[in-house]
Amino acid sequence: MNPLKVVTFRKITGMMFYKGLLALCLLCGITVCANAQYSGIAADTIVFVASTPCSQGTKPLPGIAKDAPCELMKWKLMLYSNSFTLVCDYGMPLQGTKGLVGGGKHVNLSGKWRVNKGMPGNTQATLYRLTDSATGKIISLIKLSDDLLHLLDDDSHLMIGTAAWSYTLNRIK
Amino acid sequence: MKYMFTIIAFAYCISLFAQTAGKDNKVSQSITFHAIPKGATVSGVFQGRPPCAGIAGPLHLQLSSNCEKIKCNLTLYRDSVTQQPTTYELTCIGAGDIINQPGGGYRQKILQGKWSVTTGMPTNSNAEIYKLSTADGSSFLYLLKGDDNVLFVLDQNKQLMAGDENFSYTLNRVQLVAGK
Repeated sequence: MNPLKVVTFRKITGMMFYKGLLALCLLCGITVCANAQYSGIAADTIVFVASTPCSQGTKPLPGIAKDAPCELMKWKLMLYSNSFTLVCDYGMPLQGTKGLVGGGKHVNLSGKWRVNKGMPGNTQATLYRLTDSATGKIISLIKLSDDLLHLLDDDSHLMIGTAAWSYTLNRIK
Repeated sequence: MKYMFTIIAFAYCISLFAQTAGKDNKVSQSITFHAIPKGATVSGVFQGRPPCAGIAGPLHLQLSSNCEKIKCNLTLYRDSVTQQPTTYELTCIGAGDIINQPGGGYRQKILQGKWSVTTGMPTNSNAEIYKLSTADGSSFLYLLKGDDNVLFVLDQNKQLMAGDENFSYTLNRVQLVAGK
């Protein structure tokens, strides 16, 4: 065999190897970027999100001062097998956007959660009870479906939203 | 002493709940510049901003490509004597016909028809469902009655739909007040 042809063949196969390696790296990079929003979230974690009202007298979470200026809350609730974390941004809505003035203030809660069955007037209802470990306070939600939760008041009634926002949490993962 | 203990125990139990007190969970006011429907024939006014697809699809409403949500205003009417459902008016802003005005246009559709109450959905045979039919009977919108104040928009298979981080398929009872 012509030695020149052997060298050329090796060059070509070498180039193909490095191109393949580069393509693999790019693919891995794209996959990592695609999952970046869920980085640190285990595969079996359930994530609910929502934008809810937050008016005077109806601040539904511990850690928000009664007199805090608040009309909008953006929720991200992560449910693990028996614990939860709840990240909320709250404040005044920035007109013309879906965001908050100045990025809003933040409250982070975590603790244990459990499932209860039944509530007044609905014995079949499935309730999620979240207990904040820092304050011991309980947040109650009714399960409407696998993909929807709705916040309850302390009389176990559905929280009534406004024209703009509702108290329904939507599952995204 | 016994009563004092009971009161303290009750107060402690109440303090464990973080969410809004029942007495503070009220119907919110919503400003309108239109005539406010009044009288015994008004069953309720509900408003919400559900995502576009779940509303526009079943009602065959046209959408703009950048549509994120539809501002819905639903007025339910009833018979003042029998309390039975009669008609409804559903105003959708963000979907429907293009309304031109100085400075730009927007989409709007005002639907009117009859509504009725049925029972049962695939996941709950006892669920109370409101069925809104368009005037020509060609389209339907199903709503699940969460309670007297909260309705959930269903798909055409009477299944609940999930929204996103900004908008939910929920309509809330409001009290209309006249804008000044």
